[in-house]
Parts: sequence; C-alpha cells; structure tokens
Amino acid sequence: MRDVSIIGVGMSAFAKRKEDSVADIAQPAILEAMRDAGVLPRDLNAAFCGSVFSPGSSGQRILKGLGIHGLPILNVENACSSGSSALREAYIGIAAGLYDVALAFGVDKLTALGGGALPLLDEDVEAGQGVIMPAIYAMRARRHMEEFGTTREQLAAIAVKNHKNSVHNPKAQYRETYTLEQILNSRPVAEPLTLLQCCPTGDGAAAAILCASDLAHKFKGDPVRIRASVLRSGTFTDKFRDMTVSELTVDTAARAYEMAGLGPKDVNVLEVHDAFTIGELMYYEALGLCAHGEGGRVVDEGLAEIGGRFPVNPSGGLLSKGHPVGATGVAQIYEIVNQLRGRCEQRQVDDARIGLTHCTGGGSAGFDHVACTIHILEKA
Amino acid sequence: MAIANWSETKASPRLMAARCGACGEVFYPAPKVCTACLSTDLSDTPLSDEGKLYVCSKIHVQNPKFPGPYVVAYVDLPEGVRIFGQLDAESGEPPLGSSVRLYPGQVGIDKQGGAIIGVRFKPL
Repeated sequence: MRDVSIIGVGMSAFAKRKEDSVADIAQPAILEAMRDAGVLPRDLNAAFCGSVFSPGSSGQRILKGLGIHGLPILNVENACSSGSSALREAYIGIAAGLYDVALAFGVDKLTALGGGALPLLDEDVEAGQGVIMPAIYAMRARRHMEEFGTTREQLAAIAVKNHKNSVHNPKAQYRETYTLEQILNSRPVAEPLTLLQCCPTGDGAAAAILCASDLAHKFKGDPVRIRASVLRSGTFTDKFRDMTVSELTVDTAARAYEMAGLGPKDVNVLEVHDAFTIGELMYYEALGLCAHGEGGRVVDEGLAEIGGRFPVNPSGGLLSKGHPVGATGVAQIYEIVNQLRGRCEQRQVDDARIGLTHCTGGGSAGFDHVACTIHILEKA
Repeated sequence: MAIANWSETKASPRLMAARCGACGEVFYPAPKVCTACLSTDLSDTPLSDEGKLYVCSKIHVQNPKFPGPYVVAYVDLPEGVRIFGQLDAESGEPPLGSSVRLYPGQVGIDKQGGAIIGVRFKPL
C-alpha cells in the first residue's frame, strides 16, 4: 500500500440554491480544489462522485464541463457517507498503485426534494409506520437521558457551540449565534429534539484532490497525509439493541485508530456527524473521547469547544454549516485539511497536527446506521 | 392497506413472526430465508401481545401520510424481538419500561385516503 496525501480541497458555500443545477453547484468546488492542488484535467487518473439524490451519471455530467472525461469515473451512493465513501475509493486506487492522482467530490441538491425530513423508503417496516430520521435520534436521546441523566440543556448546548463556530465560516449555511433558550424554545420536531437541534436541508458540494505522497512534490498544493481511511456498514438485527451506543461508529473508530497507529488522545481536531445534537454527544463516546454515558460531562466542561481539549466541529458542523448529504463527508475533509494547514483564521484550532472526520447515516429498520466512514489526517 | 403481519383471528389478533424450523431463530418481520442458518424452512409463529416500552418520542412534523402529532415507540417482547409501532398517548406517555399491549390499528393514511394498519401499543 502506498502512502496517500490530499493536495487540494474546494467547497461551495452551503445554501438553498433551488434555481441552480447540480453541475452549477459542484463545478466551482471542484475547480477550487484543482487550483488549490495545482492540477489540470490531464493530471487526473480517476474521479469519484458521491451523491444520494443527484440524477444518474452525475459525475460524468458535472465533470465534462471542466474538461475531465475519458478517465474512470465512478458514481458512489452510500447514504450520508456517500462523499466520504467516494474519497475512500480514490484513496484505495492510489494506495493500490492503480492511480497517482484522483479527484473525489460530493454533491447534493436537497431543495429539489421540497424540504422537510429526508425521504425514507415506504416499504421499510418502520418508515412505513411513521419513523423519520429525527425520530431515530430523538429516541436515542430519550434513552440517553433516562440511563445517564443527560439533560435537554446539555443537548442544546451542542447546537449553541456549533452555531457559534459557524459565525467564522464564510461557507456555512447559517452564521448566527443562538442562546440556549432560543435552541430549547424553537419548535419541537421529535421530542426532546427541537428544530435548532436538527441540521437544515440545503445544497452544496465539496471536492478533494488525492495524490501518492511521494509524488505530491510535483504539484503546488500543501499536502496533508491520510493516516486512516475506513468504511463499515451497520450490523442488522431485529433483536434488542442498546440505543445509547453508536455501535457502528465504535466499530469504525477502533479500526481507524488501529490503521493510523493512533488513539483518541492523539486527535487535535474533529469534524463529526452532528445531524442532530444527540448524535454529536453520542459520538464523543463512540469515538473514545470520553467513556460511555459521559457525553454530557464533555459538554459541561467545554472539552469540544475551540480552545478545549478536543475541538469538535469548528466549521459549525452539519447543524450550522449545513448537510447537503453527499457533500458532507468531503466538506469535513475540506475543514480538517485547512485546519491542519493553519488556514482557518478566527475558527482555527491552535497547533492542530492530527485531525479526524466522521460521517455516518442512513435510516433503515434494524440498523444503527447503514454506513460509517472515518478518516484520520496528519499535517505533513 | 396493512404494513404489519397480523393473524387472521379477530378475537385476539397476534403479530406473526417467522420461526426457523432448522435452528429455532425467531424473526420479525419475516425474512425470505433464516439469516442465521440460511434455511428456507420458516413458518409463521405468533408473538406475545404484551411487551415492555423501551423508548418513545412524540413527533411534531406535519406529513399528509402521518398527520401529527403522533408518538413512535419501540417495544421489547419476551421472544427477544423489538417491535416498532405507534403508542396511544392521549393521556400522556407512560414511563419507559411500562407494560403495553400490541393491537392492529391505524398508523397513517395511504395515497387513496385509506387507513394504513400497522402496530399500535396501548399502555396497560
């Protein structure tokens, strides 16, 4: 396996862009990544497009407008982990020696769906009886509160933190601060979760250029090493399961730390899948940042704040930066690469050397989630 | 329209699961093959009509198929399976761990305006 680095990243500002096509949304992000890396279409050996709701063959349709065609292009759908799964495909191809330089990007246009909770399959035994993604997370929250005394205020404080961080992110969908009372008093969605504890719907794209590390010097992009790239799928059961444990993330994290030869204490900055506040709290535990049941303490002690022991979601996270699902995993990479390069200005985490991205999702009866990816990156 | 597999007996309808004749595993809903041993020797088996409330959440999102608010819940049965359905909570949600009875009832409205019959839980 060859060592692989990311040499360029790009991202669209996340926003509601009903009038724009998927290509309008994705192309500027890809162009930004290529200019950042200093690569031209002829330098690319392969391209991977992650998306959940875009039309078929979107990768080819989007890339033709940038002079990228003829090479292997793969369209990747893997729930909320689509973009990060596309990135992992690029990683695998380069690590295996099939390619030297590859593009991975993610894009989605959720305004095309009409807004509200993401559609789940009617034939699913739970979705067909009224489950929606916020309900799944809400039930986890209820159990966590019941078993560990986690409070509504601790959950809401995560939304306060992430909204505060995004004020300094020009590409975030929302850039306003909210008080704890505003979060708690926003309208209920799925009790105990209120509207401002749920990520918004929106449109966006993000892109990354990956390169064999020993060839990175040929390009101008400031490289960041990939220390781990792991994808897992959820285990299925119709039996009892502990809903206070994010078991798929626990499994993925253990493998990512092993691959990197690092542990949770080594990580300086994280972008975590906070589609709902309870998600971020449970992922503190699942990623080994604290013990099972102690997520509330992380909030109380401010450990995940910028300036805390392990800042989580300095970009604003899905809650405030936005969550155009296919784009999210690569947008997390965009943030961590720029954090490790020291380019994040007012939201910069000091002395960040190791960063982690975590992207998981998909609602289907009998699964914790359907897919999870974790990437661990290191400043070169 | 029905989305749950209820027994035909009107008197005390039971939710029907599948039991594997080869290894004895019980599944709900029924798979095409036993996912433990891949045997196709699956037969209907009635589940208990009482279980314990594992968790619930009141949903406030408006949707023509599921006019809210409504309460979704998971209930654990003695057979070891966890069942999803909607909880009767007009007089408030019972504490987690409470006993509930399963019955076939309306959980939503289908495209023709008819009732979707699924699993409902009545607090005991």
